[in-house]
Amino acid sequence: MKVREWMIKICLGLAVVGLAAAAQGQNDPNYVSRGEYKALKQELDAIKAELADLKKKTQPEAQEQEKTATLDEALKRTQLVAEASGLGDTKLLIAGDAAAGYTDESGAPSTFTAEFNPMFLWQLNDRLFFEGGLELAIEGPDENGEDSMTDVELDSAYLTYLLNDYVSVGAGKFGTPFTVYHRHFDPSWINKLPFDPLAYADGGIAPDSAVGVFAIGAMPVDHAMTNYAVYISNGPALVTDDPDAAGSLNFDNYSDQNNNKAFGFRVGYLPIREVEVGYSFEFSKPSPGSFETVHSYLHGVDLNYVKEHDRLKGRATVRAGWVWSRLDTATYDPTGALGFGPLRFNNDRDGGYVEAAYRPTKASDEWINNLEFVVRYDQLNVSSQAPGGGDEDRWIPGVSYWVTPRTVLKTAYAFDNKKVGKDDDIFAVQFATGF
Amino acid sequence: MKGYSPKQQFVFWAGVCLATAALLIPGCHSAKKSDPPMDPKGSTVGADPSISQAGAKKGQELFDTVGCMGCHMVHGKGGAVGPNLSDEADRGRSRQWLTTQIRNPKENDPESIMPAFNNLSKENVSDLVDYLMTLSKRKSSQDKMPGEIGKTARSGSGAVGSGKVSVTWGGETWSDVCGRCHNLRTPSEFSDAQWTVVLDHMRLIAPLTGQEQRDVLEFLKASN
Repeated sequence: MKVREWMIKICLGLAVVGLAAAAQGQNDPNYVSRGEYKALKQELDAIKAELADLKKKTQPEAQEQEKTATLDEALKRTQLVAEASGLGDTKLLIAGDAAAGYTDESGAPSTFTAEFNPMFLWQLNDRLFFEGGLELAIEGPDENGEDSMTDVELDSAYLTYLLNDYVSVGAGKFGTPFTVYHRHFDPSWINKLPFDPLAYADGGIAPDSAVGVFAIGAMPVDHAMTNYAVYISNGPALVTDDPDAAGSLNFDNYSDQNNNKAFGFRVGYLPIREVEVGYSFEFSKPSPGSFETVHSYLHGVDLNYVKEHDRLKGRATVRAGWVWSRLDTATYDPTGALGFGPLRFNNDRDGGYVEAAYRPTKASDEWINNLEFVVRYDQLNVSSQAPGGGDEDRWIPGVSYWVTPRTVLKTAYAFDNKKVGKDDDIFAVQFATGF
Repeated sequence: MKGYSPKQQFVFWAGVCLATAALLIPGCHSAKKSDPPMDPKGSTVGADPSISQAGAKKGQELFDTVGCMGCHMVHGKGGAVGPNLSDEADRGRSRQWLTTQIRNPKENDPESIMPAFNNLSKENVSDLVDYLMTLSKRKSSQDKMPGEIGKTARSGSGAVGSGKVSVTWGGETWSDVCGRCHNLRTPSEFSDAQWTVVLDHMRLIAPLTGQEQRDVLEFLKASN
């Protein structure tokens, strides 16, 4: 009985404690009712739905941005390709030189001159390269007083294949690699004086351009750099019927005279970085088919030295070139039909130049810094028995002012000394630019 | 020399000989003092105790980055608008002169066309001056023989035939080969693409090896 009573008492006690706890829970501020819970859950579901909508809306924009970035990149690439291959850029570039001048020569009227020599450089691909050059100049009135003309010449037109690092081969009309004067120093802004040395001028003894094929290149050999050029061309023509020039070589002739090609080469050697020396040789049979066979042997040497000297406070340049022309002795106008023969003479000629220049590049005064002082001695020796022959030499002092690194105002006076005929002193001023 | 032992006489005459030799050999006595150690690029560093090696190193970086190289050439690399600075240390200019030249060139020369770099900090200017005062041609890589260029220098990453290009040797080649015949153009005169065409032309005229052509092109692109 007692146990039963105790059991009932315990149950009642637990019930009282449970009811009290329930009553206390309803008064707790942290208590969430089912209704509140349902409302909150609905609100959370609505927010989730809204977020999902937002995600859906923003996703295309991100994709769009990605697409735009890809397009921008493609556009940049296209622009680069377009810039790299556009006209006037990689494929074709116009360079060259131009000059205007004034020349006063003894025994001839003084005259203003102008010339324009554009070069068209065309890179066809990584290995193929084309170069074409024109010479446009005003030609003065001739001895008969005829009108001046604009002289237009094809200076160069050749296609080159860059075979490997050391060999390039080409064909067309190119500057003859016979000594370096015509290939390196001919452009008016590079030539330190307003005119060419006698041996390299019109009527000289050095070839300036040729039509044919060539191979050219450079390579390091042991402790030095070397370069070379080999060519086969139509060769010069022997003048046989001009009473004033018979026996001389016409290098402006570009057609073969007798189906015998000219062969030539030059090797250059740089023992130290400031000096280049070279030897050139050309062999040809320049006589026309109707004339007796004449062999021509040309030998040439050249020197180029450039150095900035601290002691001299400037840059010193020495350039030199000498050419020996050996032609078989022949009889010109053998029948006397042309009125100056028969004429037979020793047809060995030689000539060249030595040129020194100094520019005070380290002078503190900019005006002095831009001055360049030049002196050249040149000579051409031709047998006095040859038509138009006789030895000639000149001393030519000159002063130049460099307006920009590629634009120069040159002035020079040539003191001429001819063994036959009157001296042709020349005063010349030239304003030249390279572009 | 009576009254002196042979040893004392030897020391006396040896001293006379050494003193005479020092006087007769030009610059001998000062050469040891001024012969500074070489840095890896061949420039002299530490010729003057006032030059900080660390400063010179920072100055070289600044020279390459703040625009000096656009106009000035050092050891064959850089523009040709302003003077070549490869031998700046040999010109005997003071720190003050160089500092003024960077900060306000017109103070040194009213007709100077160089822009004033007055935006550089005092420390940066000092570093640049340190660098400029280390630039000597007496022992620079410019004085290398072509063979050294062709053999020694090119035996590394820029070896001929290696297919690798070298901006440094491109600058050297550009200065040497192009400068042999004419004044140098500033790299900015042509675009990179135009230089590509010009160098095809110059490869045939100079002539250049293919490696030299690539090096020079790389140098011009880097300078542009």
